[in-house]
Amino acid sequence: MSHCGDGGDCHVLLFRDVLPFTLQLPQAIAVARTKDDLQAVAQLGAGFWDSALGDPGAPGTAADPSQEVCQTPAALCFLNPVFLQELQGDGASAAELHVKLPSHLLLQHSRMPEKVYWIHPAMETQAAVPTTAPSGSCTSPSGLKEQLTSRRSTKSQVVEEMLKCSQSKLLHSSCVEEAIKSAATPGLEFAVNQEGVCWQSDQRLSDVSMSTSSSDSLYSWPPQSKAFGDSTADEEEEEDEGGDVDEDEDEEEDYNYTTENNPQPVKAKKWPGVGPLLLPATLRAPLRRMSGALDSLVDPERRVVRQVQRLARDKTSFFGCLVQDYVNLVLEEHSCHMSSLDLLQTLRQFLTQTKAYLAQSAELEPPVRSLVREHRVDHVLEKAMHKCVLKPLRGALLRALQEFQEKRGEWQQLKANLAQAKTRTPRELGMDRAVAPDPLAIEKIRHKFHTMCKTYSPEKKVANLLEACKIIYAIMAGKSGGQHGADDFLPMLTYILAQCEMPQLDLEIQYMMELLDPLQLNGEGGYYLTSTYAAMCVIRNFEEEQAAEALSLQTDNTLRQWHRRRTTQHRAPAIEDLQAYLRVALQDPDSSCTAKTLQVRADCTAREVCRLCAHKFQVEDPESHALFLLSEGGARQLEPDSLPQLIKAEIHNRPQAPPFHFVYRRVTPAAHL
Amino acid sequence: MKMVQTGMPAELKAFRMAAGGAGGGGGGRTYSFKVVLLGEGCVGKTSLVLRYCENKFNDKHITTLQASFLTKKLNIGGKRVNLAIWDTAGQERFHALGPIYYRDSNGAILVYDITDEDSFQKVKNWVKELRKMLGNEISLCIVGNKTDLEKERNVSVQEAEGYAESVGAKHYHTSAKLNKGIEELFLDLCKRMMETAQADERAKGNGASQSGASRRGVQIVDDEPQAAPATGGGCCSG
Repeated sequence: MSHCGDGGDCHVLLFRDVLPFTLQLPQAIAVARTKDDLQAVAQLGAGFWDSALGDPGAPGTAADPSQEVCQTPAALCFLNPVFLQELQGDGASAAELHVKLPSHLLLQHSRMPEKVYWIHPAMETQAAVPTTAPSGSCTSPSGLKEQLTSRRSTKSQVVEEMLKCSQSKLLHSSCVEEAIKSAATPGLEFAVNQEGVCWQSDQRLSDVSMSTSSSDSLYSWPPQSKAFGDSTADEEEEEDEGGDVDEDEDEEEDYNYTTENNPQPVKAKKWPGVGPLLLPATLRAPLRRMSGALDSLVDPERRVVRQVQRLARDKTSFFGCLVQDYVNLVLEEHSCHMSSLDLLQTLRQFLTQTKAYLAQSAELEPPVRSLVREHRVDHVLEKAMHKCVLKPLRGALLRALQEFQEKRGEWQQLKANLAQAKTRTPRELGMDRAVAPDPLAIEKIRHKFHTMCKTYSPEKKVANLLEACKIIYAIMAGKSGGQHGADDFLPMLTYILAQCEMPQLDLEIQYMMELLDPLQLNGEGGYYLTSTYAAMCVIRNFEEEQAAEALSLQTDNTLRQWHRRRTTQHRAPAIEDLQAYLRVALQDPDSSCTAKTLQVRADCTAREVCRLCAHKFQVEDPESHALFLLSEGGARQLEPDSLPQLIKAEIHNRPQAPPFHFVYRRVTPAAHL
Repeated sequence: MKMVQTGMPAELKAFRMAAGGAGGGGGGRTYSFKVVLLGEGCVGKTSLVLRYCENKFNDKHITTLQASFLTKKLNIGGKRVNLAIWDTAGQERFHALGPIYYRDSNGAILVYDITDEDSFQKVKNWVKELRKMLGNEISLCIVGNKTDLEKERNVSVQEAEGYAESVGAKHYHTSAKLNKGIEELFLDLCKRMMETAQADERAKGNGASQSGASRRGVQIVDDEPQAAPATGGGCCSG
């Protein structure tokens, strides 16, 4: 098989021990003498196969298997590690063909010995060109490259390009399938059987247009959650599915069902002895029929979900190509996203657009609308998409989100702040009225959160979150009776989140907020998700919160408690910061601004400072004047009972103290607008 | 039209464009509005909205939680309206969280306590912030609550109403305790939000793109689904 890079060089691997025939390069490449010739070929991208250069006769109908294989626009190769050593060592045999192995290859190989799958270089389509109507071929590689480097493409372009590429692949897939069929010799099977190797081509842009992997259909749909080592999600899922415990296994076997009347696509399953997973043919057919019969018995909505899942595994379908490519793309290339938001929003867009595709696709047989009522269609397809895409990706996504946070130091800060917030009393976190929950109740809520973390579906996660919120309401109602609004709920939620001390909740919130069906964001789930996000914000910005808090504290009592805590905990805001002086400016609309440095004790309230100012500035109507704190955020009137010196100290203690001024000025009713 | 704000998936637009393409005229549509409830703690926000939504919990929701999030269904002039009312925490320390809550709101109810001058100042702060962040797209209601305590009034009716008018908001007097003025408040707000939504649609050109209005929570529910751009359904059955 061949792989042509756009750099002009062409890497060819030959396994004489594996293939019974010699692979040939397409004529145009074989006769190329100069680098420019190859460049010209590379420029064509997928268009090569439709062009005169790539057409060695009648494409798609050629009977000669070897020729067919040559035509396979595969960017990928089989590597049989058994022969790898031999081949690398054998300079003579590899003289004219040079082998390039990505360094990570062997690692991946050892990690996933049984799974073979392609990692599609089509990932690079991330930055592809926007088009509304998909055409048969992909953008030229060089164009893509520019786009890729500029990285200015929008998310919709990404998905659109994915759609386009998958389509262009399909154009080739039928002849490819044919080729595979004829190439299915014992030798090849051996190679496949021995060890799966996942080989990622060296990410050339030309691969974008050439990533039709002829042999994708050899393998089962690989990235099941097993690949991520989170069997928990699986279990949970199956629990939810009720009778569907063996669903996945069933579908492994019956996934030809939908294409039964279409004999063309060839599946690995049909090859005798390809893998231990396969049942004898005599067993398979009845099983398939049974599954089909069962299908008609199950709930139509579930049937649609299964159908979509089956289609997603079917590499010969447009949808299957699309989904598998995308999943692999996210698995391998999530780091190329600029932020977690970028990653999740692209993913959300993919879900939405594929859903729209499925809703009217002829690939679903029977069509969704024949099984499900109109108003349920979107919901059912959303669920199906979660299964096909989010289930295999959940682990990788959450890891990626954490990486993004770690890179920016946010993760560490959140952990530190959570630990700190945990030591605070309910009152310090704003719970004025409600009584703090007991540890048992908190444990119960923590358990709910853990359950929430295990599932992949944003909807189910939100349902878990709502259950947790329900417990919180029950606690509040039990302790103080009556119904509670956000004034009570949010502080309580903040307190409980601090007590649970689960930084991963922050990632979960992101996951839900971005991946939940946007239509649901304005509903109850959206509200409580927002509240949880808000509570996390409070914790995340714990230190800054305290400064804001200082401005509005209503009683000296609370203020003194807070002061004591700060001074005992930090010991830093010492006397120097609490100097006995305060500089206050008089802002007079008529005259200019004059400032005076006043002697103000630490325990002097704003009311007293005002009195002092009125005297020092000789203000005639002190009752209409007040003390304000001017800083970046604007002006804030200080509560009469607040302590200006403490506020000053607090601002000084911030990591980056913003410029601020105390201003004594007239309070005008219209001053706020 | 407001810009897409952070955190709101941009694809929503694209999706709505696909899903709401058919457009269609007046009949059989449902408006979904989000209304955010702002005001200092203790001004009676929660009682106000509880009074309004009493016994009218929507059983469609997964759980029926308490008073922080409430829904109400209305029928105004043959148009169905679904209200989602978002309560916020009034304590000053949570003030900074405001934008998280009022994002994408169609309306805001700003409540103050007529006996508490300070709570009225807070309302002014909110108005300023909302106008700055959401412009004139959002319908504002300023509500003087606790009219049952008229004797202790500290905010003059004149001042409050004058202020409301000066900022393009409507002023209402309510008493959650006596259940006075609340129905009118919400009904009026709904009508105003519907007008805004309709004006929005007209401005966008009917049918061509519903995305603008939809983005703010107005959905076309009953229309026949989309003539959306199928991304090549034809080529796949091979």
